[in-house]
Amino acid sequence: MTHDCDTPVPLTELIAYHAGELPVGDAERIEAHYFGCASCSERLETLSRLDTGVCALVHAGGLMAGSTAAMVQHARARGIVVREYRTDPGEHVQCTAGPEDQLLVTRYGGLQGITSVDVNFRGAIMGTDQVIEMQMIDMPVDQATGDLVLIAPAKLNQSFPALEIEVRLTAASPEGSRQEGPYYYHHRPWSLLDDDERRRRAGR
Amino acid sequence: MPVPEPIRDTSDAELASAVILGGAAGNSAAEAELCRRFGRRVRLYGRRRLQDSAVDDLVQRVMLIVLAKLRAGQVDAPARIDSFVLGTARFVTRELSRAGSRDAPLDQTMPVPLDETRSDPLAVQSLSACLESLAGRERSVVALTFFHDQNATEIGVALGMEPGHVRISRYRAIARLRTCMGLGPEEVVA
Repeated sequence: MTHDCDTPVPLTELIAYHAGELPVGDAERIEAHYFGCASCSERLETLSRLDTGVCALVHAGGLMAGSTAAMVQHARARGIVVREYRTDPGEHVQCTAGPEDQLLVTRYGGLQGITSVDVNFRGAIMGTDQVIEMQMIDMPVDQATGDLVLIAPAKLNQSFPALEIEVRLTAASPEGSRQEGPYYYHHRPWSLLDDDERRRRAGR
Repeated sequence: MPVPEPIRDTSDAELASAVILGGAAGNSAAEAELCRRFGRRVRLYGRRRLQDSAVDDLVQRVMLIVLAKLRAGQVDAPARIDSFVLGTARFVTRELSRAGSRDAPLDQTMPVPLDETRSDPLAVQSLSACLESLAGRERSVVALTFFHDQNATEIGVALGMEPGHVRISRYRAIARLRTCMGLGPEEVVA
């Protein structure tokens, strides 16, 4: 069954309502409308389903995105198992992904005053001449820390072979583009590590 | 007043009138559909104001009050049943927000299971694929909006964006996700 509405609430307004951004009077007007409108209440319900779905995806360790340190803290507070590594330009990190991890967080420092970077990953698979390359465009920098905070599914990292990873960032600035890094990650599969090595790679 | 078939095509006002005419004996089909329909709207209302654990309670309490008033002929304007349900939801939400008020047990149950007032969860794998199709910044805005419960101003501070830019980015991302997930007709993407 389809429901029509002659005066649908604009999606921008439904989103603002869902996000709790509207003044009381506007929120009450929208409530008065959707309580009597099957179409608009279904559209609002769609936002609620997306909200629940994104939360479920993060809980399942299935989201890859630029994030913030505060959101990572929020994930930890909700019981999500996070392994986190942080590097400044030129630094090397010994890393892995444990069997219990849900989210793997990598933070790239030294980006104060920058709001956006393009990310280039280059991972050489040890013992082979194969290379994994990945690029991410316009990734936002966490302004509270000056770090690029990337969250990734731990399952993805658990599937990686031993990798020597080099990450280079390109930041756009009024003076032109500026290179940051490289940042070095030495990934080893959990199963290949002894207890001492696992502790050494515990992260934050 | 008989409820036209199929009952899903019945207007809110017709459903309310059918419940009123059913009186104390009840009109189970109309009552069930009224609860399904308005239970979902009450749930949307409650989600913004109450903890998740209290929303089921709100839905049941509101719908039981509404049904009781309709059966007793105490709703003067069935054509405005939507306003009556909203007013009841506002009242019960205030009651539930008071400490200890949730201790009073319910002595009845709704004519439909609570599950019928809930929306189906989205397929996480499909959602993951749709999120991957978004631009990096849009994906971040969606994550901060839904998972971190941040509004446009807070996201703007966190990512160094103007709130208006965050709203545009958020709108585009959500419109694309809706389309990608097949969640209704395409909305115009600005």
